[in-house]
Amino acid sequence: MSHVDEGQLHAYLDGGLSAMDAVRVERHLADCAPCRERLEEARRLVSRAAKLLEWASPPERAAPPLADLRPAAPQWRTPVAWAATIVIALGLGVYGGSQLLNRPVEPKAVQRFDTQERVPAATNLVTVAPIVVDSNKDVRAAEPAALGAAAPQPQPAARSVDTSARLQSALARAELDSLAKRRIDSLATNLAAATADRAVDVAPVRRESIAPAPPVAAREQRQEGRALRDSAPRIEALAVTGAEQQNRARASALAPVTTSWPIITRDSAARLLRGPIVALPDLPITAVRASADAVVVEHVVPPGQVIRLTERRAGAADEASAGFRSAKTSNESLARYVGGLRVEISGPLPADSLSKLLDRVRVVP
Amino acid sequence: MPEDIAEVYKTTYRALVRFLYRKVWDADRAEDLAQEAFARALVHKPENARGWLFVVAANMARDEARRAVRDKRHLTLLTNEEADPAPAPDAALVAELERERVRAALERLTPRDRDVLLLWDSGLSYGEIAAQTGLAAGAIGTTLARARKRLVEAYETGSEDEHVARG
Repeated sequence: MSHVDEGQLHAYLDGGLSAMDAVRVERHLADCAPCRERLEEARRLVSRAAKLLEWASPPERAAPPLADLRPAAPQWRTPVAWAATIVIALGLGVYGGSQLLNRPVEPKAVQRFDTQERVPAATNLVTVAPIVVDSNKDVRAAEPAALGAAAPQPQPAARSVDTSARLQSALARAELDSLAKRRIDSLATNLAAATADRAVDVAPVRRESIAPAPPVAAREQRQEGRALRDSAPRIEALAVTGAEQQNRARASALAPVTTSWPIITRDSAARLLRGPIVALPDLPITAVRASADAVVVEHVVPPGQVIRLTERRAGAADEASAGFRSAKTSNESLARYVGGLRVEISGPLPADSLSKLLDRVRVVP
Repeated sequence: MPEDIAEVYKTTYRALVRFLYRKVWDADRAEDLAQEAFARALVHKPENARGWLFVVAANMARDEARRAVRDKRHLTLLTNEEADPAPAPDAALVAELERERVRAALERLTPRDRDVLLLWDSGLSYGEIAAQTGLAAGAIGTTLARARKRLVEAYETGSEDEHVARG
Protein backbone atom coordinates (compact mmCIF):
# COMPACT_ATOMS: atom_id res chain seq x y z
CA MET A 1 0.00 0.00 0.00
CA SER A 2 1.35 3.44 -0.82
CA HIS A 3 1.62 6.04 1.85
CA VAL A 4 -1.49 6.98 3.78
CA ASP A 5 -3.02 10.26 2.64
CA GLU A 6 -4.38 12.96 4.92
CA GLY A 7 -7.99 11.97 4.48
CA GLN A 8 -7.26 8.41 5.45
CA LEU A 9 -5.28 9.47 8.47
CA HIS A 10 -8.12 11.61 9.72
CA ALA A 11 -10.66 8.94 8.93
CA TYR A 12 -8.54 6.49 10.83
CA LEU A 13 -8.35 8.79 13.86
CA ASP A 14 -12.07 9.47 13.69
CA GLY A 15 -12.98 5.82 13.48
CA GLY A 16 -14.50 6.40 10.09
CA LEU A 17 -12.64 3.65 8.29
CA SER A 18 -13.99 0.20 7.75
CA ALA A 19 -12.32 -2.47 9.81
CA MET A 20 -10.50 -3.73 6.76
CA ASP A 21 -9.19 -0.33 5.78
CA ALA A 22 -8.16 0.40 9.33
CA VAL A 23 -6.12 -2.78 9.47
CA ARG A 24 -4.44 -1.87 6.20
CA VAL A 25 -3.51 1.52 7.54
CA GLU A 26 -2.11 0.03 10.70
CA ARG A 27 -0.03 -2.43 8.77
CA HIS A 28 1.45 0.36 6.73
CA LEU A 29 2.13 2.51 9.75
CA ALA A 30 3.96 -0.34 11.39
CA ASP A 31 6.54 -0.15 8.63
CA CYS A 32 6.56 3.53 7.82
CA ALA A 33 8.02 6.06 10.24
CA PRO A 34 7.20 9.17 8.16
CA CYS A 35 3.58 8.17 8.05
CA ARG A 36 3.61 7.61 11.77
CA GLU A 37 4.91 11.12 12.16
CA ARG A 38 2.15 12.42 9.93
CA LEU A 39 -0.35 10.51 11.99
CA GLU A 40 0.80 12.34 15.09
CA GLU A 41 0.52 15.65 13.32
CA ALA A 42 -2.97 14.76 12.23
CA ARG A 43 -3.81 13.78 15.77
CA ARG A 44 -2.68 17.18 17.03
CA LEU A 45 -4.69 18.92 14.35
CA VAL A 46 -7.83 16.97 15.20
CA SER A 47 -7.38 17.84 18.84
CA ARG A 48 -6.71 21.51 18.18
CA ALA A 49 -9.73 21.89 15.94
CA ALA A 50 -11.92 20.20 18.51
CA LYS A 51 -10.68 22.55 21.19
CA LEU A 52 -11.42 25.59 19.06
CA LEU A 53 -14.91 24.34 18.43
CA GLU A 54 -15.39 23.85 22.16
CA TRP A 55 -14.80 27.56 22.58
CA ALA A 56 -17.64 28.16 20.18
CA SER A 57 -20.16 25.93 21.87
CA PRO A 58 -23.39 26.70 23.63
CA PRO A 59 -23.64 26.16 27.39
CA GLU A 60 -24.78 22.67 28.19
CA ARG A 61 -28.33 23.03 29.44
CA ALA A 62 -30.62 20.19 30.22
CA ALA A 63 -33.15 19.63 27.49
CA PRO A 64 -36.78 20.23 28.37
CA PRO A 65 -38.63 16.98 28.87
CA LEU A 66 -39.95 15.73 25.58
CA ALA A 67 -43.37 15.52 27.17
CA ASP A 68 -43.38 19.27 27.09
CA LEU A 69 -42.95 19.37 23.35
CA ARG A 70 -45.14 16.49 22.39
CA PRO A 71 -48.92 16.70 22.16
CA ALA A 72 -50.66 16.46 25.51
CA ALA A 73 -52.37 13.21 24.69
CA PRO A 74 -51.89 10.10 22.64
CA GLN A 75 -52.74 10.75 19.06
CA TRP A 76 -55.77 9.05 17.66
CA ARG A 77 -55.29 7.88 14.15
CA THR A 78 -57.99 6.58 11.88
CA PRO A 79 -57.93 6.67 8.15
CA VAL A 80 -60.78 8.78 6.91
CA ALA A 81 -61.63 10.07 3.49
CA TRP A 82 -63.10 13.52 3.62
CA ALA A 83 -64.14 15.84 0.89
CA ALA A 84 -63.33 18.92 2.93
CA THR A 85 -61.49 19.75 6.07
CA ILE A 86 -63.39 20.51 9.23
CA VAL A 87 -62.16 22.13 12.36
CA ILE A 88 -64.22 21.73 15.45
CA ALA A 89 -63.51 23.49 18.68
CA LEU A 90 -65.46 22.33 21.65
CA GLY A 91 -66.01 24.08 24.89
CA LEU A 92 -64.88 27.53 23.97
CA GLY A 93 -67.13 27.62 21.01
CA VAL A 94 -67.94 26.02 17.75
CA TYR A 95 -66.60 27.66 14.66
CA GLY A 96 -65.21 26.65 11.37
CA GLY A 97 -66.25 25.67 7.93
CA SER A 98 -69.61 26.01 6.32
CA GLN A 99 -70.82 22.69 7.56
CA LEU A 100 -70.88 23.74 11.17
CA LEU A 101 -72.56 26.21 13.36
CA ASN A 102 -70.92 29.56 12.87
CA ARG A 103 -71.98 31.29 16.02
CA PRO A 104 -69.07 31.48 18.44
CA VAL A 105 -69.78 30.64 22.04
CA GLU A 106 -68.66 33.30 24.44
CA PRO A 107 -66.63 32.04 27.33
CA LYS A 108 -68.65 33.89 29.91
CA ALA A 109 -67.92 31.16 32.37
CA VAL A 110 -64.38 32.34 32.91
CA GLN A 111 -63.49 33.51 36.36
CA ARG A 112 -61.91 36.86 36.70
CA PHE A 113 -58.21 36.84 37.48
CA ASP A 114 -57.94 39.88 39.58
CA THR A 115 -55.39 38.56 42.00
CA GLN A 116 -52.00 37.24 41.28
CA GLU A 117 -52.57 33.95 43.00
CA ARG A 118 -55.08 32.58 40.55
CA VAL A 119 -53.90 29.93 38.22
CA PRO A 120 -55.63 29.06 34.93
CA ALA A 121 -56.45 25.62 36.20
CA ALA A 122 -58.96 27.21 38.52
CA THR A 123 -61.24 28.14 35.72
CA ASN A 124 -64.35 26.09 35.29
CA LEU A 125 -64.05 26.28 31.58
CA VAL A 126 -63.03 23.18 29.81
CA THR A 127 -60.75 23.80 26.93
CA VAL A 128 -60.76 21.20 24.27
CA ALA A 129 -58.31 21.53 21.49
CA PRO A 130 -59.58 21.41 17.95
CA ILE A 131 -59.98 18.15 16.17
CA VAL A 132 -58.19 18.44 12.93
CA VAL A 133 -59.62 16.31 10.20
CA ASP A 134 -57.63 16.37 7.06
CA SER A 135 -58.63 14.80 3.81
CA ASN A 136 -55.09 13.85 3.03
CA LYS A 137 -54.02 12.64 6.37
CA ASP A 138 -55.23 10.53 9.20
CA VAL A 139 -57.73 11.91 11.58
CA ARG A 140 -56.16 13.02 14.75
CA ALA A 141 -58.04 14.08 17.76
CA ALA A 142 -56.08 16.67 19.58
CA GLU A 143 -56.97 16.12 23.15
CA PRO A 144 -57.55 18.97 25.54
CA ALA A 145 -54.49 20.91 26.37
CA ALA A 146 -55.86 21.87 29.73
CA LEU A 147 -58.71 20.62 31.73
CA GLY A 148 -59.68 22.77 34.61
CA ALA A 149 -62.04 20.68 36.60
CA ALA A 150 -60.10 20.00 39.72
CA ALA A 151 -60.56 23.24 41.60
CA PRO A 152 -63.81 24.08 43.35
CA GLN A 153 -66.02 26.12 41.10
CA PRO A 154 -68.42 28.80 42.25
CA GLN A 155 -70.74 28.67 39.27
CA PRO A 156 -70.12 25.47 37.49
CA ALA A 157 -73.39 23.94 36.50
CA ALA A 158 -75.36 26.55 34.67
CA ARG A 159 -72.76 27.89 32.32
CA SER A 160 -71.20 24.62 31.38
CA VAL A 161 -74.57 23.07 30.78
CA ASP A 162 -75.30 25.97 28.54
CA THR A 163 -72.15 25.28 26.61
CA SER A 164 -72.95 21.62 26.54
CA ALA A 165 -76.42 22.28 25.17
CA ARG A 166 -75.08 24.42 22.40
CA LEU A 167 -72.51 21.79 21.72
CA GLN A 168 -75.16 19.14 21.37
CA SER A 169 -77.15 21.19 18.92
CA ALA A 170 -74.04 21.92 16.96
CA LEU A 171 -73.33 18.27 16.79
CA ALA A 172 -76.80 17.52 15.64
CA ARG A 173 -76.54 20.03 12.88
CA ALA A 174 -73.10 19.06 11.79
CA GLU A 175 -72.63 16.59 9.04
CA LEU A 176 -70.01 14.41 10.49
CA ASP A 177 -68.42 11.17 9.79
CA SER A 178 -69.65 8.67 12.33
CA LEU A 179 -66.20 8.08 13.68
CA ALA A 180 -65.52 11.72 14.29
CA LYS A 181 -68.94 12.06 15.80
CA ARG A 182 -68.27 9.23 18.20
CA ARG A 183 -65.05 10.91 19.14
CA ILE A 184 -66.79 14.21 19.72
CA ASP A 185 -69.44 12.43 21.72
CA SER A 186 -66.83 10.99 24.01
CA LEU A 187 -65.23 14.38 24.45
CA ALA A 188 -68.64 15.87 25.12
CA THR A 189 -69.18 13.18 27.72
CA ASN A 190 -65.96 14.21 29.33
CA LEU A 191 -67.11 17.77 29.23
CA ALA A 192 -70.29 16.78 31.01
CA ALA A 193 -68.32 14.74 33.49
CA ALA A 194 -66.08 17.69 34.17
CA THR A 195 -68.99 19.89 35.01
CA ALA A 196 -70.15 17.31 37.53
CA ASP A 197 -67.20 18.35 39.65
CA ARG A 198 -65.25 15.23 39.00
CA ALA A 199 -61.65 15.59 38.12
CA VAL A 200 -61.45 13.99 34.76
CA ASP A 201 -58.15 13.47 33.14
CA VAL A 202 -59.14 13.42 29.53
CA ALA A 203 -55.61 13.97 28.48
CA PRO A 204 -53.47 11.33 30.07
CA VAL A 205 -49.92 12.43 29.81
CA ARG A 206 -47.14 9.93 29.83
CA ARG A 207 -44.82 11.36 32.37
CA GLU A 208 -41.88 9.19 31.66
CA SER A 209 -38.74 11.00 32.45
CA ILE A 210 -37.18 11.21 29.08
CA ALA A 211 -34.97 14.15 29.67
CA PRO A 212 -31.56 13.20 28.37
CA ALA A 213 -28.72 12.41 30.73
CA PRO A 214 -26.90 15.38 32.25
CA PRO A 215 -24.08 16.71 30.11
CA VAL A 216 -21.34 14.72 31.71
CA ALA A 217 -18.45 14.03 29.38
CA ALA A 218 -20.36 15.32 26.42
CA ARG A 219 -17.56 14.53 24.08
CA GLU A 220 -17.49 10.89 25.12
CA GLN A 221 -21.21 10.75 24.58
CA ARG A 222 -20.80 11.96 21.06
CA GLN A 223 -18.13 9.38 20.34
CA GLU A 224 -20.27 6.65 21.79
CA GLY A 225 -23.26 7.72 19.83
CA ARG A 226 -21.20 7.68 16.70
CA ALA A 227 -19.99 4.18 17.29
CA LEU A 228 -23.55 2.97 17.51
CA ARG A 229 -24.52 4.32 14.18
CA ASP A 230 -22.79 2.47 11.42
CA SER A 231 -25.29 2.42 8.64
CA ALA A 232 -25.79 5.32 6.32
CA PRO A 233 -29.36 6.46 6.90
CA ARG A 234 -31.56 7.71 4.14
CA ILE A 235 -32.42 11.37 4.32
CA GLU A 236 -36.06 12.20 3.98
CA ALA A 237 -36.71 15.37 2.09
CA LEU A 238 -39.01 17.84 3.69
CA ALA A 239 -41.91 18.16 1.32
CA VAL A 240 -44.67 20.66 1.70
CA THR A 241 -47.72 18.81 0.53
CA GLY A 242 -51.14 19.82 -0.59
CA ALA A 243 -52.29 19.53 2.99
CA GLU A 244 -50.49 22.76 3.74
CA GLN A 245 -52.63 24.65 1.27
CA GLN A 246 -55.73 23.31 2.89
CA ASN A 247 -54.42 24.37 6.25
CA ARG A 248 -53.78 27.84 4.94
CA ALA A 249 -57.33 28.13 3.67
CA ARG A 250 -58.62 26.82 6.93
CA ALA A 251 -56.61 29.28 8.97
CA SER A 252 -57.97 32.29 7.13
CA ALA A 253 -61.53 31.03 7.26
CA LEU A 254 -61.66 30.92 11.02
CA ALA A 255 -63.56 33.53 12.89
CA PRO A 256 -61.52 35.32 15.54
CA VAL A 257 -61.92 34.07 19.06
CA THR A 258 -63.94 36.14 21.46
CA THR A 259 -62.23 38.73 23.62
CA SER A 260 -64.00 38.05 26.91
CA TRP A 261 -60.87 36.69 28.52
CA PRO A 262 -59.90 38.57 31.65
CA ILE A 263 -57.13 41.11 31.61
CA ILE A 264 -54.23 40.38 33.87
CA THR A 265 -51.09 42.18 34.87
CA ARG A 266 -47.79 41.50 33.24
CA ASP A 267 -46.53 40.04 36.48
CA SER A 268 -49.37 37.57 36.54
CA ALA A 269 -48.66 36.70 32.97
CA ALA A 270 -45.02 36.14 33.72
CA ARG A 271 -46.03 33.95 36.59
CA LEU A 272 -48.37 31.90 34.46
CA LEU A 273 -45.79 31.49 31.77
CA ARG A 274 -42.96 30.95 34.21
CA GLY A 275 -41.05 33.52 32.30
CA PRO A 276 -41.35 36.97 30.75
CA ILE A 277 -43.96 37.54 28.09
CA VAL A 278 -42.96 38.02 24.50
CA ALA A 279 -44.44 40.68 22.27
CA LEU A 280 -43.85 42.83 19.25
CA PRO A 281 -41.33 45.43 20.29
CA ASP A 282 -42.50 48.18 17.95
CA LEU A 283 -46.11 48.17 19.01
CA PRO A 284 -47.66 49.09 22.33
CA ILE A 285 -49.34 46.27 24.17
CA THR A 286 -52.97 47.12 24.62
CA ALA A 287 -53.90 44.19 26.80
CA VAL A 288 -52.56 41.03 28.33
CA ARG A 289 -55.21 38.44 28.88
CA ALA A 290 -55.39 34.97 30.29
CA SER A 291 -57.26 32.30 28.42
CA ALA A 292 -57.85 28.89 29.83
CA ASP A 293 -54.36 27.69 29.20
CA ALA A 294 -52.45 30.53 27.64
CA VAL A 295 -51.54 34.15 27.92
CA VAL A 296 -52.78 36.31 25.10
CA VAL A 297 -50.93 39.52 24.35
CA GLU A 298 -52.86 41.99 22.24
CA HIS A 299 -51.54 44.69 20.02
CA VAL A 300 -53.67 47.14 18.16
CA VAL A 301 -52.39 47.96 14.73
CA PRO A 302 -53.79 51.22 13.36
CA PRO A 303 -56.46 51.71 12.21
CA GLY A 304 -57.82 49.34 14.79
CA GLN A 305 -56.99 45.75 13.98
CA VAL A 306 -56.09 43.53 16.85
CA ILE A 307 -53.13 41.22 16.63
CA ARG A 308 -53.05 38.46 19.18
CA LEU A 309 -50.07 36.55 20.40
CA THR A 310 -51.09 33.40 22.22
CA GLU A 311 -48.28 32.29 24.43
CA ARG A 312 -47.65 29.12 26.36
CA ARG A 313 -44.61 27.66 27.97
CA ALA A 314 -43.07 25.37 25.37
CA GLY A 315 -44.76 22.19 26.21
CA ALA A 316 -48.14 23.17 27.56
CA ALA A 317 -48.78 23.24 23.86
CA ASP A 318 -50.76 21.57 21.95
CA GLU A 319 -51.75 20.28 18.76
CA ALA A 320 -54.38 22.93 19.16
CA SER A 321 -52.37 24.76 16.62
CA ALA A 322 -51.83 21.74 14.44
CA GLY A 323 -54.76 22.99 12.45
CA PHE A 324 -53.45 26.48 12.06
CA ARG A 325 -50.39 26.03 9.97
CA SER A 326 -49.62 28.19 7.05
CA ALA A 327 -46.89 27.34 4.60
CA LYS A 328 -44.40 30.05 3.94
CA THR A 329 -40.99 29.11 2.66
CA SER A 330 -39.98 26.54 5.20
CA ASN A 331 -41.65 28.31 8.08
CA GLU A 332 -44.61 26.05 8.22
CA SER A 333 -46.72 27.56 10.93
CA LEU A 334 -48.00 30.74 12.40
CA ALA A 335 -46.35 29.67 15.58
CA ARG A 336 -42.81 29.96 16.78
CA TYR A 337 -40.76 29.17 19.79
CA VAL A 338 -39.37 32.28 21.37
CA GLY A 339 -37.74 32.52 24.76
CA GLY A 340 -38.93 29.08 25.79
CA LEU A 341 -42.52 29.91 24.92
CA ARG A 342 -44.63 28.63 22.11
CA VAL A 343 -46.14 31.68 20.47
CA GLU A 344 -48.99 31.72 17.99
CA ILE A 345 -50.03 34.82 16.12
CA SER A 346 -53.46 35.62 14.84
CA GLY A 347 -55.19 38.63 13.43
CA PRO A 348 -57.04 40.03 10.44
CA LEU A 349 -53.97 40.19 8.24
CA PRO A 350 -52.76 37.98 5.44
CA ALA A 351 -50.63 35.07 6.49
CA ASP A 352 -47.52 36.61 5.01
CA SER A 353 -47.85 39.74 7.12
CA LEU A 354 -48.62 37.72 10.20
CA SER A 355 -45.59 35.61 9.53
CA LYS A 356 -43.39 38.66 9.25
CA LEU A 357 -44.78 40.02 12.47
CA LEU A 358 -44.19 36.71 14.13
CA ASP A 359 -40.53 36.96 13.27
CA ARG A 360 -40.27 40.18 15.20
CA VAL A 361 -41.67 38.81 18.41
CA ARG A 362 -39.22 39.31 21.24
CA VAL A 363 -38.94 38.79 24.94
CA VAL A 364 -40.19 41.95 26.61
CA PRO A 365 -38.42 42.82 29.81
CA MET B 1 -43.77 6.64 16.21
CA PRO B 2 -43.63 8.87 19.22
CA GLU B 3 -41.44 6.39 21.07
CA ASP B 4 -38.80 6.57 18.40
CA ILE B 5 -38.80 10.30 18.58
CA ALA B 6 -38.24 10.03 22.31
CA GLU B 7 -35.16 7.94 21.70
CA VAL B 8 -33.91 10.30 19.06
CA TYR B 9 -34.59 13.18 21.38
CA LYS B 10 -32.40 11.69 24.07
CA THR B 11 -29.47 11.24 21.77
CA THR B 12 -29.90 14.17 19.45
CA TYR B 13 -31.34 17.20 21.19
CA ARG B 14 -28.05 18.54 22.48
CA ALA B 15 -26.35 17.74 19.18
CA LEU B 16 -28.97 19.73 17.36
CA VAL B 17 -28.59 22.67 19.73
CA ARG B 18 -24.85 22.55 19.24
CA PHE B 19 -25.21 22.50 15.47
CA LEU B 20 -27.73 25.32 15.46
CA TYR B 21 -25.62 27.40 17.81
CA ARG B 22 -22.86 27.57 15.20
CA LYS B 23 -25.44 28.92 12.77
CA VAL B 24 -27.30 31.47 14.83
CA TRP B 25 -24.70 32.16 17.54
CA ASP B 26 -27.32 32.61 20.20
CA ALA B 27 -27.84 29.86 22.74
CA ASP B 28 -31.47 30.76 23.39
CA ARG B 29 -32.33 30.87 19.70
CA ALA B 30 -30.52 27.60 19.18
CA GLU B 31 -32.59 25.94 21.89
CA ASP B 32 -35.80 27.48 20.56
CA LEU B 33 -35.08 26.27 17.05
CA ALA B 34 -34.12 22.81 18.24
CA GLN B 35 -37.37 22.55 20.16
CA GLU B 36 -39.28 23.69 17.13
CA ALA B 37 -37.55 21.11 14.98
CA PHE B 38 -38.50 18.35 17.40
CA ALA B 39 -42.03 19.65 17.65
CA ARG B 40 -42.27 19.42 13.88
CA ALA B 41 -40.81 15.94 13.95
CA LEU B 42 -43.55 14.92 16.34
CA VAL B 43 -46.09 16.01 13.77
CA HIS B 44 -44.37 14.82 10.61
CA LYS B 45 -43.02 11.62 12.09
CA PRO B 46 -40.27 11.26 9.50
CA GLU B 47 -38.71 7.94 8.60
CA ASN B 48 -35.19 8.90 9.50
CA ALA B 49 -35.64 11.35 12.30
CA ARG B 50 -32.03 12.24 12.95
CA GLY B 51 -31.20 13.15 9.41
CA TRP B 52 -34.51 14.92 8.95
CA LEU B 53 -33.95 16.97 12.08
CA PHE B 54 -30.59 18.27 10.92
CA VAL B 55 -31.96 19.13 7.51
CA VAL B 56 -34.88 20.99 9.04
CA ALA B 57 -32.62 22.70 11.54
CA ALA B 58 -30.24 23.86 8.86
CA ASN B 59 -33.15 25.20 6.80
CA MET B 60 -34.65 27.04 9.73
CA ALA B 61 -31.34 28.63 10.63
CA ARG B 62 -30.68 29.61 7.05
CA ASP B 63 -34.13 31.13 6.65
CA GLU B 64 -33.70 33.06 9.83
CA ALA B 65 -30.41 34.47 8.63
CA ARG B 66 -31.97 35.41 5.31
CA ARG B 67 -34.89 37.12 6.92
CA ALA B 68 -32.52 39.05 9.14
CA VAL B 69 -30.61 40.31 6.15
CA ARG B 70 -33.75 41.15 4.26
CA ASP B 71 -35.26 43.00 7.17
CA LYS B 72 -32.00 44.86 7.66
CA ARG B 73 -31.78 43.79 11.20
CA HIS B 74 -28.42 43.96 12.85
CA LEU B 75 -27.46 40.70 14.42
CA THR B 76 -25.74 41.32 17.67
CA LEU B 77 -24.31 38.69 19.89
CA LEU B 78 -25.95 38.63 23.25
CA THR B 79 -23.29 38.80 25.88
CA ASN B 80 -25.59 37.63 28.63
CA GLU B 81 -26.72 34.47 26.91
CA GLU B 82 -24.54 32.15 28.96
CA ALA B 83 -26.74 31.01 31.78
CA ASP B 84 -23.87 29.44 33.67
CA PRO B 85 -22.74 30.84 37.00
CA ALA B 86 -21.07 34.05 36.03
CA PRO B 87 -17.29 33.79 35.83
CA ALA B 88 -15.06 36.71 36.71
CA PRO B 89 -15.66 39.51 34.22
CA ASP B 90 -12.30 39.26 32.50
CA ALA B 91 -12.63 35.51 32.05
CA ALA B 92 -15.99 36.04 30.43
CA LEU B 93 -14.51 38.63 28.14
CA VAL B 94 -11.71 36.33 27.11
CA ALA B 95 -14.19 33.54 26.42
CA GLU B 96 -16.26 35.82 24.27
CA LEU B 97 -13.29 37.04 22.30
CA GLU B 98 -12.20 33.48 21.66
CA ARG B 99 -15.65 32.56 20.52
CA GLU B 100 -15.67 35.49 18.17
CA ARG B 101 -12.37 34.45 16.68
CA VAL B 102 -13.55 30.90 16.18
CA ARG B 103 -16.72 32.19 14.60
CA ALA B 104 -14.73 34.33 12.21
CA ALA B 105 -12.44 31.44 11.44
CA LEU B 106 -15.40 29.21 10.65
CA GLU B 107 -16.64 31.80 8.21
CA ARG B 108 -13.45 31.36 6.25
CA LEU B 109 -14.33 27.77 5.40
CA THR B 110 -16.35 26.86 2.39
CA PRO B 111 -19.97 26.09 3.28
CA ARG B 112 -19.49 22.43 2.45
CA ASP B 113 -16.38 22.05 4.58
CA ARG B 114 -17.95 23.99 7.42
CA ASP B 115 -21.10 21.88 7.43
CA VAL B 116 -19.16 18.64 7.43
CA LEU B 117 -17.02 19.87 10.29
CA LEU B 118 -19.99 21.08 12.31
CA LEU B 119 -21.96 17.91 11.72
CA TRP B 120 -19.00 15.87 12.87
CA ASP B 121 -18.59 18.08 15.92
CA SER B 122 -22.26 17.62 16.71
CA GLY B 123 -21.73 13.91 16.91
CA LEU B 124 -22.80 12.52 13.56
CA SER B 125 -20.90 9.56 12.20
CA TYR B 126 -19.11 9.48 8.87
CA GLY B 127 -21.99 7.49 7.41
CA GLU B 128 -24.58 9.97 8.62
CA ILE B 129 -22.60 12.94 7.37
CA ALA B 130 -22.23 11.27 4.01
CA ALA B 131 -25.95 10.67 3.76
CA GLN B 132 -26.74 14.17 4.87
CA THR B 133 -24.35 16.01 2.57
CA GLY B 134 -24.38 13.70 -0.40
CA LEU B 135 -20.65 13.14 -0.20
CA ALA B 136 -19.16 9.70 -0.56
CA ALA B 137 -18.19 8.21 2.79
CA GLY B 138 -14.64 8.00 1.57
CA ALA B 139 -14.54 11.73 1.00
CA ILE B 140 -15.51 12.68 4.54
CA GLY B 141 -12.06 12.12 5.96
CA THR B 142 -10.49 14.30 3.30
CA THR B 143 -13.06 17.01 3.85
CA LEU B 144 -12.55 16.97 7.60
CA ALA B 145 -8.81 17.05 7.19
CA ARG B 146 -9.08 20.13 5.02
CA ALA B 147 -11.69 21.80 7.19
CA ARG B 148 -9.73 21.32 10.38
CA LYS B 149 -6.57 22.60 8.81
CA ARG B 150 -8.29 25.69 7.47
CA LEU B 151 -10.03 26.33 10.75
CA VAL B 152 -6.84 26.25 12.75
CA GLU B 153 -4.97 28.34 10.20
CA ALA B 154 -7.74 30.90 9.98
CA TYR B 155 -7.93 31.13 13.74
CA GLU B 156 -4.25 31.64 14.16
CA THR B 157 -3.91 34.22 11.44
CA GLY B 158 -7.26 35.89 11.94
CA SER B 159 -7.72 39.36 13.34
CA GLU B 160 -10.72 40.80 15.16
CA ASP B 161 -11.41 43.64 12.77
CA GLU B 162 -11.97 41.34 9.87
CA HIS B 163 -15.54 41.52 8.62
CA VAL B 164 -16.84 38.65 6.60
CA ALA B 165 -20.24 38.19 5.10
CA ARG B 166 -22.37 35.63 6.83
CA GLY B 167 -22.75 32.56 4.69
